[in-house]
Amino acid sequence: MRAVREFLVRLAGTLRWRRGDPDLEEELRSHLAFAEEEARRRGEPARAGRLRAGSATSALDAVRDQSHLAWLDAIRLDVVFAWRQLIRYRAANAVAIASLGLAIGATTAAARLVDAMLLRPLPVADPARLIAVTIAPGSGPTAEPRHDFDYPTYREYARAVGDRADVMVVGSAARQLVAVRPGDEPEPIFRQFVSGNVFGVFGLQPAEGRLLTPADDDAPGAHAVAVIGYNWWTRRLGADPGVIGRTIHIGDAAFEIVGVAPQGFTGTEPGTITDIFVPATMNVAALDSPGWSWFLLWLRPRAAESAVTLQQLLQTRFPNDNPRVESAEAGVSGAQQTFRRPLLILMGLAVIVLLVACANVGNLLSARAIGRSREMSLRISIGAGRGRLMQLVLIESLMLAVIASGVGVVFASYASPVVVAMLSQPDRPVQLMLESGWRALGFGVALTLAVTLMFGLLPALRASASKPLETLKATGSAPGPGAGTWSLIGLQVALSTFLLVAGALFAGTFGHLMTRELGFSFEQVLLLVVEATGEQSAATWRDVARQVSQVAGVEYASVAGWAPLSGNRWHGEFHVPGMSDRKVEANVVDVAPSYFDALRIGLLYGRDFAAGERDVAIVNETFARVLFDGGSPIGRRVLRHMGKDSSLTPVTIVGLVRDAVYMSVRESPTATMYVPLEPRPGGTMIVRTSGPPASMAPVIRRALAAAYPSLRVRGAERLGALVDQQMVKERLLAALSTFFATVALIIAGLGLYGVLNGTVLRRRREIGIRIALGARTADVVRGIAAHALLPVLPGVAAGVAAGVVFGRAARSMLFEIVPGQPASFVPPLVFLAMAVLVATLPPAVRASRIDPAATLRSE
Amino acid sequence: MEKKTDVLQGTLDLMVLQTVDSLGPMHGYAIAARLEQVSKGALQLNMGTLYPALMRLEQRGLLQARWGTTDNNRRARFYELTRAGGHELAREKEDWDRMTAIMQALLRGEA
Repeated sequence: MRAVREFLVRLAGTLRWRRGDPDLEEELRSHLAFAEEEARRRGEPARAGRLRAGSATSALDAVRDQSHLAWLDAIRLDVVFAWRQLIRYRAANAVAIASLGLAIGATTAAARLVDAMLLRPLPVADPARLIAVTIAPGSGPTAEPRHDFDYPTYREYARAVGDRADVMVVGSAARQLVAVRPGDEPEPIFRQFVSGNVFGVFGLQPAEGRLLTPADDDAPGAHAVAVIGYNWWTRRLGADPGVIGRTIHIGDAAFEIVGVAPQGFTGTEPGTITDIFVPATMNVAALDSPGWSWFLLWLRPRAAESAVTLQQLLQTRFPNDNPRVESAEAGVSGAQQTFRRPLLILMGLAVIVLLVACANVGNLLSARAIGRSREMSLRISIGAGRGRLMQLVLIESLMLAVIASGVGVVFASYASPVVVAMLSQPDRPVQLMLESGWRALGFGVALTLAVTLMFGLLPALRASASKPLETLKATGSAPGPGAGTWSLIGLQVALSTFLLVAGALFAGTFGHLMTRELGFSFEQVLLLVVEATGEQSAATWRDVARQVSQVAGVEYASVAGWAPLSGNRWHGEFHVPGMSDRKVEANVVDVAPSYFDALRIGLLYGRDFAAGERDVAIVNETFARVLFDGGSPIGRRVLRHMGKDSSLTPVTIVGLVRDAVYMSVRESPTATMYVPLEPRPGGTMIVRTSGPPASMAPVIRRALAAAYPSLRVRGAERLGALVDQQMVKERLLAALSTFFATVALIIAGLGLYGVLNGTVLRRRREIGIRIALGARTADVVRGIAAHALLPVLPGVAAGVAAGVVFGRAARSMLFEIVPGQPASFVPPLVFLAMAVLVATLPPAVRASRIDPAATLRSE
Repeated sequence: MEKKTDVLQGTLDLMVLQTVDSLGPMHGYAIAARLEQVSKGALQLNMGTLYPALMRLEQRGLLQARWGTTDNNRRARFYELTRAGGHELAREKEDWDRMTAIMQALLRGEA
């Protein structure tokens, strides 16, 4: 404790930065006065007393040593010196700081996203003990574990678990339309159903009002109460405490707001911010519906239990479900599953850019350290310890890193929201709490220190290894760049090549997907999911489509069971009558007339469906190729085997259309059969508009409401949004990996230029002599270029090899581009060659222009 | 040379604390004079030794200082023991007694 106190007082003394201490000086003066007085009393001259008392100046120094922290003083001096160095080489330092700042910013932005999406624990009590249950019914080895549960299954599981754990219904965040005031235009929000115990188990306190309790969740449909999210409360309701007790309408149902969730708690799904929490038992229709899965099952083990014991218990009780548990510490969401790999890949790529920048700055500082070897030697000769020299250089590095980190943090604060926006779709926003206070600060500090060591250690060691005798003896030019410098250049080239190859793979994937012929045109197509009160005849649906097609601004309107890319599929097996050994597995799409017009799917032969037709079909090219060897299918008949309601009525093919993707923009052409729409309770309207489709949605809604009051439009979406949504990951990876590759290439190019340029400057005399002795310009240039190629070639080879290995590992994320094929690495190599050329040319030209006479004269 | 100051530093703190404890608040020169007198002139402290020691003790919270005037109306900075200083002094005295007892026993046995 005493030592701590002394340290703090001395620290304060150092920081006070005081040159003199009037108190102390006065005290010493009074001491001298006493000494003189004493001397006089003894009959000696006053000088004798002063002599005995000792020198006031050395006493002042001694006291100052005691009052300050010597090492901190040394650091202060070093900081001042380093600052002067920073100013002195400000151009080179500005480039270093910019490149390092950009790299740190990219790494920080990626880390923030990874943290917010994947790592940060939920702000609830004891998040590490939260677990989510997954089941894989039908438990083959291929059965995908899923998170979603239905309520009857939940009841069984809750009974089985008993009081070994808190069992929670954690609803999936679902987009709903809510009217804040009666008559307001409904706005989209995210709603989560939760069981009454969730807030209690999470240990949350309301920001206003109260949170949901088990009493709110004890009977189906009994408690129409809602807790609203802090974010929505402040953003939409102006943080008005008066909203407690107000009624809001979610869809048709009225709910009373009873409280506001605490700040920072945004629900349980990273990527989505929940606006409204409602008791699970308010989802009345779903409570007794097996197979209607709408929530996740979370557990928190009680005292003696653990995730392992609970998993064993559930597996014993429900062997057919193959239940497993996983940590829910950081929440569980679809966005996590979708973006885990892309975000981690981007994080890795950003770190590689950072390594390139560090290698570059390391080289810069090394070159500077060589240039300062005389200064360093002088410092050693006059008694500076080698540790002190390392400290000096490391402090310079640290200051560079701190400034660069500042730049990086500013960059990241702009970049992260941009990336979040890239994850989002207009209809499926991704919302993340990016700010994380201490976590971000800790990461920033750790990153700064790591970066400092990465680029500063080598120059520091080099400086401390200065040999005064040799350096001071040597006259003329300093030694050239050593093996360390060239291997750092090689490393930069290797990493940049790797980034270029990776970028080319992702950009190629996105490009192939973008330019891929989908078979339909998605621009200006609006999809409306429509529900009727009961089953409606095909004629009614055709009539609805006709009504819509008469709205101004609508070109074509049709109805289908589901839209392409909706994620829903109906399929079956078909064969030609009498040839049952030759079957084709095909999608079956039920459509009203004008479907092909609305989607612009090319009709090759035959005709569209006519009204009221039955037992006819239109097939696509793949279907015809598989079943009819490419011959015309028109007029041919096929039999459909449709699972249990196997129909043996043959259908007659009346048309042939182009192939079009149905489930995924990545799928290869799939056999498809279109059949006339059958009576159904709902469907998807496919509307081709002449203007921007989104703006037509309200018009069509109104037209439908006027003509068919019993129809409800559940949602309106652009078909383009469905296409985009399937390429979010690809777009993200393509954009950011090429950005990273570009940045790395520029940094590496600058680094190569810097080292070559330095070499030419240093060897000016030698080159001058050679030219004077008759060396040709081409030889001189070749000499410089050879210098550049020595580290570049192995770097390129290593980078391409690493890129191919990476591409193989990430193959599932690629499309129509094969790692290792020339197409995947030739374009990157062209870019690389250009960069090397641009970096090498100026130094080479400079070398060739050296005037021997002028150079020798200047020596 | 260095060893001598090392030894001195440990004992100097104890000497200063003891002096201030037995004679009450006193200024730097008086402390030095008292030590010189007690040692019969063997221990002469110059300012460069005395004042860093006083500052160190102050920094550790064992002494506290304030400006005052002497009997003959001179301004001087007076040092006095804090409570922590009292405890520290008692502990160090004990250590010192134990150490000297050991040393005496050892040296006598050897002789």
